[in-house]
Amino acid sequence: MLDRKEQERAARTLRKVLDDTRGQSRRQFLASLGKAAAGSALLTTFHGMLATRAAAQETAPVTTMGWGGEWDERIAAAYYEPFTERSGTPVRVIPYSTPKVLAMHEAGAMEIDFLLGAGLDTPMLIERGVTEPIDWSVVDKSALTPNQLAYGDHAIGGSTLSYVMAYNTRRWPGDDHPKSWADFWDVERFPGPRALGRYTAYPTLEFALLADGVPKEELYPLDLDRAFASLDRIKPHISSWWETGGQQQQLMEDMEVDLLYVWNGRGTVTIRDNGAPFAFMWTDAAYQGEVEAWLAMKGGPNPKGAMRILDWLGRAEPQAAFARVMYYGPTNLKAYDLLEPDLAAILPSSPQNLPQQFAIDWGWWGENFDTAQRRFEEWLQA
Amino acid sequence: MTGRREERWIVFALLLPALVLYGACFIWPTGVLLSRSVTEAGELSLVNYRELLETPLYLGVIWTTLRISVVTTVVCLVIGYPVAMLMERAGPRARILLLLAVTVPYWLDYIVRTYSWMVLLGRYGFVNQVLMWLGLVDVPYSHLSSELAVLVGTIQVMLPLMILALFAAMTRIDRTLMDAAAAHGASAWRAFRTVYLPLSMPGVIAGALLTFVNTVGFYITPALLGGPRQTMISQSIETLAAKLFDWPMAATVSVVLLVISLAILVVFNRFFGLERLAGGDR
Repeated sequence: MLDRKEQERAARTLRKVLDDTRGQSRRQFLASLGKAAAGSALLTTFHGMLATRAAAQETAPVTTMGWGGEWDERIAAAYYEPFTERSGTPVRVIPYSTPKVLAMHEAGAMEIDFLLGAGLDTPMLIERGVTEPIDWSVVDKSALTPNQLAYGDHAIGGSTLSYVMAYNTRRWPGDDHPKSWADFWDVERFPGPRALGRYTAYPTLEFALLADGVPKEELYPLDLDRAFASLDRIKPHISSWWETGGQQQQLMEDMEVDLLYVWNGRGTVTIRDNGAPFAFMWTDAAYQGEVEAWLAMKGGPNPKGAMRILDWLGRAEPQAAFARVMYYGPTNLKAYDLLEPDLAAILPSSPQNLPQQFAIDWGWWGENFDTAQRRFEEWLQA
Repeated sequence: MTGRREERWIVFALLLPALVLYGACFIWPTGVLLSRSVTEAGELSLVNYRELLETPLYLGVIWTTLRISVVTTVVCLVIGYPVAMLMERAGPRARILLLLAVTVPYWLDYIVRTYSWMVLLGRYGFVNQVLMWLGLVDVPYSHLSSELAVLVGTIQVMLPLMILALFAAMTRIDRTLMDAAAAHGASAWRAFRTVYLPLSMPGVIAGALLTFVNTVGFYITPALLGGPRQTMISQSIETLAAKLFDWPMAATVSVVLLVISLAILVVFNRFFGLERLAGGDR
């Protein structure tokens, strides 16, 4: 089992890898992480061979959901593998599906133990009673920072992202490039095809209001009529409405558009690692905050295992490691002590980027998502 | 008589695995789906269907789906018929080459084929590069996110199916009938129109049916090559189920998709007889 001492040891290993690879690329860092994991995996195997029956029971897996592909690999490298090395508890990942979580809850057959709730899923699942309150006798609260507990005893802030404007640096190489949402809407001054997100109505509606001159402090409650009137003006110039992160990457890499907004992590992978000629504008980007959070599921097969892994997932070390591999920001602000400044500068929750952005109001969206999303879909297809 | 009965039991026993699979994987979930679409708060109600008919969004999606499916079917038929005919008339070696040319793209995963179109039709894709080189355009504009791009994608995916269905029917046509028509003084066109075309109808029907019913359920192709205006039924089921968690409405739209496919089958059966698809005579 993963006691406090082991927990600390896992954290130390990760810290060491983070330190040793300072300034190295994402790929080099991943390789080092892999090596560290392989070394300790051997130990785990020996440990497992000597384990008593009681200990063997501790190695029952914990189950979660993931988005597949690179996302699952990276999240496993930063979060799950260091936990498995130390505890011997394997982490099983099945495909992410919110309807499936709800169906399992309704049927009283919860197959997963914990979950990184995406977008509005966190507040929705808590409200519907799908989650279990966190057992603070197992999870060490002092390892967390207060902002991670935005949902009280029900969730621990995970990694976070921003929806940020990206412009083509080949199209606008100098300083005269789009800098605000008003510029994004100004097709006379900055001609060229654009893309916006279709996956959810947030934060497209917020950006439309900002473009129309609403100050970011006065966005909520959203004036839907005004937002759609503003969207009407830009619609003919939107050549693509993306649904997925893969599409965002493709739009940038193939230069399908000159101007768009993206998830900062996907965007950075595309720009920094794949060399797409784009740059970010953090001004008035939409910050997701702590809504993407670790949840323990009610009635899961391994409730003890869920609490133990939650004790690990909210800590600074795995969050720092994940920031290194996917460029999503830690919500455990202690993680910034473990990251080099040039990496911190491109993360959404860093002290220099945070004040430039606005925070999406999930309370408003929780109540209005259905209406706004339906209207958005109807507007898109009209 | 007893032999007959025994034979029936054997047939039934042999069919049992298929029946169980069909019941468990199709009849049962379809029943659940149907029941979700006609209940509201535990009571029988057609409120979902009324909402569907009163919401322009859903009617628009259904219309888009039908439009894309019909155009795809017609274009596949027009392109595929001469190709199938050529295949049927070609010598053995040429026939194998043609068959390979038709089936190799069909074996290739259709997501790969759809992505290839994104590479070709994109803003700096092959098509625009050629147009720019020829001096026909100077500032390239993407051909993606359009109905044309979706149609190009669906037609390419469905064309092999159409050709193979036509080819299968054409190989069953007795070639001496065309010679007989010629011997009786019919022109090549007249022989084609009055002999060959009617005899190839089972292939036309089978091909059209397969193409249409498959296209109605397309998801990836319109999602990747089209824009919001090319949203098809499957995409809107996904939106309803996974984004809005409106399962009754998702079920209702799914039932509509099922009904459209069944209606097509019924109409074909009424006018042509489905048994002709298997190549049987009426």
